[in-house]
Amino acid sequence: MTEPPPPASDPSSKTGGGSVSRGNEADNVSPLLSETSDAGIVVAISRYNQDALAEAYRRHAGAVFGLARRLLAEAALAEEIVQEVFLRLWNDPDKFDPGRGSLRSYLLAQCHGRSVDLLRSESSRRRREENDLRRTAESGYDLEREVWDLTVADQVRDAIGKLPEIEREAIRLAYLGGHTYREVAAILDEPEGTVKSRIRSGLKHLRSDLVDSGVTLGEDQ
Amino acid sequence: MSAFHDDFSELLGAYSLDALEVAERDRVEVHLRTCPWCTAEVMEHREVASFLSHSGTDAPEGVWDKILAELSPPAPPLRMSITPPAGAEPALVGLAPVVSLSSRRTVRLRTFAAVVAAAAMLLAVVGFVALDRNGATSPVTSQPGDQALQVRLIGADSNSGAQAVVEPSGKGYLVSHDLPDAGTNQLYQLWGQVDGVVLSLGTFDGGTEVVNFQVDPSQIKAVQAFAVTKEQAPGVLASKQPAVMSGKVS
Repeated sequence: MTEPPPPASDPSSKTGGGSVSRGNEADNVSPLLSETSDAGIVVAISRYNQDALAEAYRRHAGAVFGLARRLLAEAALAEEIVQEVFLRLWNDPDKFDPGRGSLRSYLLAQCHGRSVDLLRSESSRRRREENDLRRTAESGYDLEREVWDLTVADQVRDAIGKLPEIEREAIRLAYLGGHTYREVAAILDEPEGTVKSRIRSGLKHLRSDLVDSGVTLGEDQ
Repeated sequence: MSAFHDDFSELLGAYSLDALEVAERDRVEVHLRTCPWCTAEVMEHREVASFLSHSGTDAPEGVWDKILAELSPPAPPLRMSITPPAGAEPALVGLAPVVSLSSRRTVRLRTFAAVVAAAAMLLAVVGFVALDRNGATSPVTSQPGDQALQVRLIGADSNSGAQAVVEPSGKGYLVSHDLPDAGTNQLYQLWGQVDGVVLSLGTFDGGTEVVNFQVDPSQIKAVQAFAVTKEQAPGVLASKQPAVMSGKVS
């Protein structure tokens, strides 16, 4: 099989997608997977439907790769993370609970956890230091510049902009830098307890502002 | 909330961003197993975090092909529990992880109208199987000494039923003449159990008389039972419905 079609958000890609594993396999009359919810896609994956996995990949591989690439800097490592995340979805589809969040956030959490594991491994320390240096050298680098979800970018940037600086920096260093909160405290020269609570309060503030601005959180595609 | 709970609550933001050290992370995860409030908060934090990174990137070419190359059995662990029909002997019970029964991950289901030829062949196969179970030699697919597996599924009303047959080659068939149309947005789901572990074998519509599925030949002897439930389309990972019909391997 070749590369899956472009993301389903692209109107030109609304064809194809294959069939779920019910109905007549020859006639292929099942509803298009491209029009199936993420929860339905995962059910089809649990029934060993490769087309369903391809559809999940079309929808979310870009975001997974983007996050892994941001954390790991090396494209080859980021590609390995993408493979790992989608193979895990294939092998353990029941780990995703649609009642507890979107498939996107689930996949990104998997991606982040695995990327951070790699980042913190001894062999990656040098790579990480180089990474940090490169980012510091980038002019105007900040959390707002990282946000690139085309549909909600303005709302997310506004919400980030409203955060107190320590909350914004703590979240950036932890989430996009892959640092522990103790490391963040050292970098910011703040007490560990303060950083720990500011990460939590910052996330709550972001959520509140996003909801107020109309962004729907936790909704299935 | 207790002070004990509050101690964990303070860690949830950092935990959600993978910003705890290993020992703290492990402690939080133990707490999360028994605390739905903290679990819900972690989900909320992760949802917010998912908006904080690039999402307009495309994964590089070639990654999908590498993933495809890795797609093979064993099947993923799923979970389900099935309540057998009232009055029927329990066939599939408990909450068990699912392992692969199928050597391929796709369960093939065919409607009768669309596969008349296949159904005709199936009837011959069923006939062969019955003979085989009675000690006759196998004329086509099985090796000397091999026997097809047959399981009679009994419905809740005892008037309906189906026959599941698995050839030594692993080809499986469910033959049913009694299931009515499943109804709007509903379908039937076939389940199999092996060594106490349950697997969804696929879904089919009411009126379907022949359902094909595939079983790993090495696991046929470990098959313990089959069951059919009625579910909302497109099917479920774990059924909470009573079985429409079920049957154990004798």
